[in-house]
Amino acid sequence: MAEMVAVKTNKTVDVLDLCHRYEGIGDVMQKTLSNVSLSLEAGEIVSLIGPNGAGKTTLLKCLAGLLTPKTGQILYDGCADILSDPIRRARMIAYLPQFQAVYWPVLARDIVALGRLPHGESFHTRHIDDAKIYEVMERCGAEAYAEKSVLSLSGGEQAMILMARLLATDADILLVDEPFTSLDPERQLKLSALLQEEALKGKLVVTIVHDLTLAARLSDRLVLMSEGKVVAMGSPEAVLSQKNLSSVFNVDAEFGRTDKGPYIIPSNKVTGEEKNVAG
Amino acid sequence: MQRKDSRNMIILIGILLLVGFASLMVGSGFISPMDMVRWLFYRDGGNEEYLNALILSEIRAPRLVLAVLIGFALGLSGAAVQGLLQNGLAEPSILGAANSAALGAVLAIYIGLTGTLSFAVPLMASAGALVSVILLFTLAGQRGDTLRLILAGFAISAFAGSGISLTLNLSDNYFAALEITYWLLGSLENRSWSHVGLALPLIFVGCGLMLLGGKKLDALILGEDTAFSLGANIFKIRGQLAVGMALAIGGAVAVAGVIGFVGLVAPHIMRPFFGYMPSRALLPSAIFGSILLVAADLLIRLLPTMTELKLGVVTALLGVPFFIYLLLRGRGLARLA
Repeated sequence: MAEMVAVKTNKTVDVLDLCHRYEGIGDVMQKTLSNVSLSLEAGEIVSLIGPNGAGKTTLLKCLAGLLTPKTGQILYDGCADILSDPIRRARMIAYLPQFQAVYWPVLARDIVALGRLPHGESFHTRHIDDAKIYEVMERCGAEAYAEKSVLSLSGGEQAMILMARLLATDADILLVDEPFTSLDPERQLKLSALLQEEALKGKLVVTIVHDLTLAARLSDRLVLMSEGKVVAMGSPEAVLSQKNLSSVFNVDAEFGRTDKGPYIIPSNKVTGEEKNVAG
Repeated sequence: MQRKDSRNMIILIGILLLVGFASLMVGSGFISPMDMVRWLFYRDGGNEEYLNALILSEIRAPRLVLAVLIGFALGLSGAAVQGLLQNGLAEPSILGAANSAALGAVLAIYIGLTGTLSFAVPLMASAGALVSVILLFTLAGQRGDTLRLILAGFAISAFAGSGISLTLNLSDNYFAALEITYWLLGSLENRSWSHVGLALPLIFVGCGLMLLGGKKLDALILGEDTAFSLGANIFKIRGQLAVGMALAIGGAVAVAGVIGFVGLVAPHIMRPFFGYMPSRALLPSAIFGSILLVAADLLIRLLPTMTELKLGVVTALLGVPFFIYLLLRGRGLARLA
């Protein structure tokens, strides 16, 4: 914690009328984004929620520059050209994909060190920011297994190492695809707190979350997606309505609130009628 | 960590010097180190000593240099291709350069009616390797993904392989066919400084490209998407490595024929000592490749067989049991998929 970064001024990401279509997979399997518009701001946590295949990952990959949208554009601080400069992009946007597996028995610390690549730091350069690497591992609760091979770690430990790798980039925008999936409850809470710390430092955190309670407690805003479209956007309370859950997720839900925050428990729909939002 | 690496590296280089020295001493006649130093500056013609000095400088030295160069190219290519494809089963020939170079050489022997030591052979082999690179990028496309690259390489390799078979099939000259078959087994017999001169530029440029591009391989360990997000230009890395590999392998096959297994096993043997980051395996694998090849060539000369054993045969005969040993021991090998 050498320097607590002050809240950065007005970093914004504007998604303007984005359309995307996967080519060559056939009509049935085509996942698309249609006319997605969003405005995201530094210092907030925005979670994308929605059923499988709603286009959440596609949107995240577009934000990371991994996919090029068919039409529409994404402006980073009003600029679209950041994506064309790999180094500038890598320093500004960090991305953690879903289901990441490492197949070689590499040391956990070496994986985290890869996060320093955008800053030109690697085993081949004289300088590598060991303090930074140690700091992020400590924040992720991963310093105990820094010197172990990633293959010897549990799924949750691996996930925290990969999280530390993400944080080591020091990027302003963190795009995190389903980081909670393989974590036990304690680590889920730890990661939530970690992402909130990052937002407090002025970073923009965009994440995909399936656990609605987790999403509601973690996020400043939720973006509810279905079939490539944004169905609802706003505060967790506003987005997680009985009506939205029923029409988009096709489930009923029990809502409640403790002093720690809201909770949402999905249950099977009682009525037989099938409703689908975009039909 | 760093200190351990440099210590291991010094040990490797020490072993290479040792086998290299042994390879200069051993052969049809024994040459002692003392004599070697004495003959280094010996220029008087006409006697037995002069003959030995000639054997040393014109036969054993180029043979040693070629073994070092080719082993280096094979080991480095193996580490590079396994890092690039993130697959421990990949070997340099996977991208088609080895078979294409061999086809070039085979055609030279077949149509040119030349002996295996004529320069038409290495020249045609180099041309074959270069053609395969151009084909590879035409087929896989500049922006093609890794799977496409492997499949394109596989197609080129299979095509060149069947081209070799076809040549053998059509060859009505029994001796030509035999000559082709022998050449394909790989050998460093009767190679001269001119062969070194031919292989060196290709291997030098190829290995240079691989060593430069290979530094950026590490990000790929987390998959292509993450590598991209870390600022890596995957197309550039892939192009640099594929071209480098084709040049180096082309140069190696051109002068020595097809030598298998070194590229596959060298990285696996080195990783437990130098770590599993792709870039860290590069240089050690290259040096270990040199050691393997020099040692295999030395063994060939020590074994009292009627005809000299072919290098490609010996590397596989030695390499496979060792590989199986590593496999059974279960350590040292990365997950092979």
